[in-house]
Amino acid sequence: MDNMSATFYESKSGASEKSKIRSFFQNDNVVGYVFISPWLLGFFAFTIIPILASLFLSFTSYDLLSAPKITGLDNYIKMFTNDSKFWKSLNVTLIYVVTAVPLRLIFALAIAMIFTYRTRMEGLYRAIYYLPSLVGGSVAIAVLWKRMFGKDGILNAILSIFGVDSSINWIGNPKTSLLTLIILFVWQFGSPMLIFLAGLKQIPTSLYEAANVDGAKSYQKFFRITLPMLTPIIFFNLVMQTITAFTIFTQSFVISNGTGAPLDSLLLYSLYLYRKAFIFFDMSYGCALAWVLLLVVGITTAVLFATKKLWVYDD
Amino acid sequence: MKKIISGILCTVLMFTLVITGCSSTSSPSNSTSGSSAAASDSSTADSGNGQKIRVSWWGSQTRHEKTISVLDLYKSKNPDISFEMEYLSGPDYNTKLATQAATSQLPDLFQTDYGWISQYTQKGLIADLQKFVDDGTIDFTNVNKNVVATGQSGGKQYAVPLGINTTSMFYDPEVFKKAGIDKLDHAWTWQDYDKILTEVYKKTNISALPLYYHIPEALAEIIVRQQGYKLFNEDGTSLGFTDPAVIKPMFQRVLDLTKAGVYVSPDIWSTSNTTEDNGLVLGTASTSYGGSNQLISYIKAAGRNLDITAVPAEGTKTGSFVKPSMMFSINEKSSDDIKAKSAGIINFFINDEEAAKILLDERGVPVSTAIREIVKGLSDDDSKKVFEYVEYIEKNQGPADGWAPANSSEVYSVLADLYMQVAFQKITPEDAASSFIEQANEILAKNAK
Repeated sequence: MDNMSATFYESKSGASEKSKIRSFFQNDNVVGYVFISPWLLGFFAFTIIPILASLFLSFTSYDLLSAPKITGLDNYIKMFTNDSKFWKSLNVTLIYVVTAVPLRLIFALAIAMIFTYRTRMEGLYRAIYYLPSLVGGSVAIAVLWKRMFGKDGILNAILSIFGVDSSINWIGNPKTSLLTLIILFVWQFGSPMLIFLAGLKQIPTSLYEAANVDGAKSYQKFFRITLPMLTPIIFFNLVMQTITAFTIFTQSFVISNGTGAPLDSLLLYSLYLYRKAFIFFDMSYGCALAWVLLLVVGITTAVLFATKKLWVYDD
Repeated sequence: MKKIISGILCTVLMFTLVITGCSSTSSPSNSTSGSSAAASDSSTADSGNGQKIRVSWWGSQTRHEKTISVLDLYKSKNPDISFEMEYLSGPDYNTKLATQAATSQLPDLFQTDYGWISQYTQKGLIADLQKFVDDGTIDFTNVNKNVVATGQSGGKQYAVPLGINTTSMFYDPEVFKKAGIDKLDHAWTWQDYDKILTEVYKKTNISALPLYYHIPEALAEIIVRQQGYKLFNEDGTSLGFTDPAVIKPMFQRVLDLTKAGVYVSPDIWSTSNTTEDNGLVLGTASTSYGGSNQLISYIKAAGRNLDITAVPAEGTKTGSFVKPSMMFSINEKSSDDIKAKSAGIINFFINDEEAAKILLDERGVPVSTAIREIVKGLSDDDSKKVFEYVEYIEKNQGPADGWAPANSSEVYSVLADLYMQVAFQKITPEDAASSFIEQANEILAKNAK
């Protein structure tokens, strides 16, 4: 009896070592992690660790040529009390975001609405309207934009056909230069448009039929049915586009030739960050700027979420 | 059994992919720069059996080709050396060099610029070449001592200039002829400048581009020198002058001439950054500025004849001075043997006749007077104009200013901002002058450590 129980316990503990490891690897979660381990490695090495390093560096003084020296909150204090360009770039970026994002969403929704009238060329039109989103972030388009809105550009040529005498250099004039950037952003309304299209198709047609029975006019249908049903999609697009707009860099870099000229009217936040870090080699200040941007975007998103209850129709 | 086999197969597959992905390419990899069309490349030359020297420089495609030819020529004469070359377009080069410095991987021999070399020398990253000058490896007998001095700082020879150029103004002689002026005198003064440009504008309705509108620091240097000061003080901890009245004329002139229409309006030049965009090239302006070595590319882009002259003098004081267009420096951390060999290569660049025939004046006017004569003989009329002008300045200048101190790029950016603001009439010249002094001194005070 004792012998048997001893062997029983022995074999169980002997087998359990091996089977513990086995069952560990047969656990679904663990298998999942193993499969994504290459990506996880990359994520840690190229994303998480640099992010943490930049947080550390933001509390130092680091110019890339010599070792970082810890200086505490100096960078942040300087940013908020002694840096007029910081406020200017924040100002420019806020104006950009507040103007460009709603305009982009309005265009996206408007064109998406037009697609509800199904045509045979639907697929072609969708592709055409989506194309700017694909190529818009590129350097080539930014260079093209610069030419188009220059003094001898196409815009002035078109305006003069309509008899409007305009020889303004839209890009060189600090009052109008940000407008050209905003137009560039709005022009790439393709991606939110596709999302709106999907959202529009999900609205049950029974609602529209009921409205027709009640004799609703088309604008009533739009404001009473379409918009409210779309609010979750609008919310999603709003949040995603706002975050994107805060981080726009390429266009302002190329159009202003990396300087934010004229008169800092194109000095978007990420361009200012780039200049501080890579042209003036004040890497630590650049890191601090990056974290403040994270804070700004985080607060903006939080505010948007807080307003969600007021206008988003969740069923 | 099946599981083990498939496990092994998966691991093998994964490793194969990883190794393929991580293998270093021996073919040139291209990285494009943002705005300009200059190609940038980095290549590994064939690995010879001898000493490998890493060389890097910036420039246009023409320069890349010429430099590679010269290095190949050197290799054919010194077969025990092989080169690993890295070459990029301008702005990319700075970033790459700084990154290499941060990881202690600077090349052995690399191009440096007068404007930012002090950051590197202050951190002890660049070797003192004096001993190579003393033992004759680097031969300065045919080089003007002012030019040699441009590579020195604190009594040490940190760099060797490869070519000289200087500030200049380009103009369209056809436009000026219409106002009755055949050729501008290199010794003209600011009073002549105001008068002549206004005449030209009145008679032809073509405006001039403000001098140095994108890099006003070059103009500031000259104006300040004409009044007996230097832009920066000895140790780079403050400006070399305290009175706003010293720098105010620069702002006053751009305001007055812009208001009068004699200068092109700022919303046109504020975004004109490339040669192709430039007003003089396009024929919409009568003058523009540039380094003397840029005249040739401006003439090519404009497709018509352009002439070169000096930034106006204040009375008899030129203010202009010759600067190195670029210099070669040697990594302090390289071995003594490589340093000596690199010094020999530098000497080859500036003194060898065959090398000179390849390089010509692409990097500016040759520093050695002997080489200069050879290259002059091979040059066309336009290049001869440049030679004649640069030699005029070389003969008539005062001693050169020292290198720009660390953080000077921030000071320059403040100046460029203020210059543009004055042109846009957003700020008065008085305010611009005092604001510049205040901000610049604040930035430079950081150097007092």
